[in-house]
Amino acid sequence: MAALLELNDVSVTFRSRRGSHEFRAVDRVSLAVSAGEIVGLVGESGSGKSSLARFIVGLNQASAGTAVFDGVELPGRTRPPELRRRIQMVFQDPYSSLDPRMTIGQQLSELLRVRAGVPRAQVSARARELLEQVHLPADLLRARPRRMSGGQRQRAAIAKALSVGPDLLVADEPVSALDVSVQAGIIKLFAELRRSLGLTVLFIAHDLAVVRHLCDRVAVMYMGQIVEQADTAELFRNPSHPYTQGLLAAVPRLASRPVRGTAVAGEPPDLSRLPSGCRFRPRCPIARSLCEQEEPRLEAAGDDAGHTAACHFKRVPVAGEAGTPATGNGNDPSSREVT
Amino acid sequence: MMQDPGPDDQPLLQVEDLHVTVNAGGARPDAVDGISLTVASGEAVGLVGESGSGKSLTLRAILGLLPPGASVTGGRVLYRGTDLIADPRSLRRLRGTGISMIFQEPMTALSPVARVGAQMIDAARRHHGWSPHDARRQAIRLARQMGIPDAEATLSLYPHELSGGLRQRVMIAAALAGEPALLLCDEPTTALDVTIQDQIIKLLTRLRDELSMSMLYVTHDLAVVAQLCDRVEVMYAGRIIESGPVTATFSRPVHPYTMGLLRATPDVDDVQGDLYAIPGYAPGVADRPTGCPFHPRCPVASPECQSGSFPLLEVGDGRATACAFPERVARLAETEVSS
Repeated sequence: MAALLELNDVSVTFRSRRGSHEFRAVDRVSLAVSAGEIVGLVGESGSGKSSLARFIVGLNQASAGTAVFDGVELPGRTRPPELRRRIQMVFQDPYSSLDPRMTIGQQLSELLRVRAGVPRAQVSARARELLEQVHLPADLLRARPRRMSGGQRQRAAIAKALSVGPDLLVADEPVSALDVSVQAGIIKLFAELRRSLGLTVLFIAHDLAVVRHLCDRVAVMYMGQIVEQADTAELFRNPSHPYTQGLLAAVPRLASRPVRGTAVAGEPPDLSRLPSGCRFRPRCPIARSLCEQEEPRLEAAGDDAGHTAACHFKRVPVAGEAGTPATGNGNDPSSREVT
Repeated sequence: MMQDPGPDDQPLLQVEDLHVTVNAGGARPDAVDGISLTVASGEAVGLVGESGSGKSLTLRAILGLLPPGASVTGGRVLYRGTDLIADPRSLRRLRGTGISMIFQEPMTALSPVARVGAQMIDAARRHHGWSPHDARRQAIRLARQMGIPDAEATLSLYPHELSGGLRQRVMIAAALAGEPALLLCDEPTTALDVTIQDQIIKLLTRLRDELSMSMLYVTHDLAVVAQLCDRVEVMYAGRIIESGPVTATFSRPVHPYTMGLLRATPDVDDVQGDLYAIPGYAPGVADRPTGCPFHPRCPVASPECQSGSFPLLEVGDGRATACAFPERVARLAETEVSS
């Protein structure tokens, strides 16, 4: 299947506040998202996941690289309205896209008339349909955001994004400010919209458990780069980059189970002072001298085609034995079990 | 450290029927509506709930740090037998050395214009009457204990020069410098990356042992409670609705709300079973339902739940529930496990 969105070596560069130096928030990222797919983008703060998301919707400019959306290269500067319509964003704080002074009905109607070109006579029916799609009661058309709960506001923000008929939804931490009991409903809503509308979603999150439940594929970012990428089940079964393993080990668990690997130590280093070689090296539990000298590239890892990791000492598939249980090369999870 | 003499069986902290009203005067019910809980010496108790449950107000009432407009309208807070509400002066004496508090946002507890080292030991220096030389030595010792790298240099920095994780460590150091018997925690890891959160949880676990300190830990995150606490109190709509040892409560909850929260929490190790979204939304203070406050969202509610009072009742093994039909919760658990 052809990718709906294809990023090739995209970099996003910012200048430091004093203007003395530049740093790459996103550094040569390549990523393909197929139509109808939900791809998760995870990493710590400062990993570049939000900068990448903002580039995709046109809020950041790339300093290098190309991005192709449905066969059309995304222009560097101003995007034509048609492209802007097809890529919509959902934010962590729904107020980023809701107008506190207008009712939800007014906000949807305006978008439907002006941006989606829906004939006046059909606007109110379409607005009601949108609320139904995000499971909000129709009487909220007359409500202002203030009167609504956090979960309802996020659903309203999603309805607004859907009103213009996008193909790709870029969701930046859309559930991380919500209460747990409400969060599950929004996660299910994304899965449902993909099923019913064939929507493609790039889902940015710091919560690995949420990503595991929703996404088909996951890309892990560290200091501006993708360091590991795989189908969700494969990534969680066979995390091959020590950073991914460390992130997973750091997640607090409800039940006391043995946790594989060591949690990541230290803090994310300063983007303006990149370490030589592998940028994860200063925090890596298995770094050796090679890691200091040579920057690792994304290469095949784990047990699955399409699984890649950027680590000199990643766990790799056994040549010629694809599909059979791997032994003796560190692929055996029990050998790494740490309680 | 001086310790008030007291009978051994007396809990360190005892909250009895605490009521907190926000913007008193109207007919609004109490935001904290009759909370009773105890923290024994050396014990860590988790106080969990979603936004608006009253968990943070409870914690702030204990330390006499309620926001403007909120006031205690009933109940007692006994620390080693002294009522902190009736005698605010004793509270002032205890702050920092008997009871300390750490917050979600360290900048609310740290002064932006004082160096980190001075702030860290301020309370303790006054308490112990240390000389500047002793104070500095203590600060360095404390910084090392907190895992602050390059302690001597870091102590002469200002808070804004530190990363979020380091600031959190400095705030914890300042809170613990006076070796308090009780540490009150208000979501101290919520705003942090999962990697830094893991480090802070491990730090608190270690310090709790080393200082034989008690903790009352407020959070919305059940997994954090599972990592840190011995007992858990679950709040909903201003009341405690379930109370008990963490392991038993999380494996066999006796209130449908607790069960709902557990099922709504995605598991990073497992994707079996659908995520459960609790229907509806948590009520605000002004529109709390009559009867059991959870009944409109409850999967096992019956007409009896719509009126009357639902006090927290003991069910054995140190556990208590405000659900009048805990056997329904048990049955619900069985049916869903076997289906």
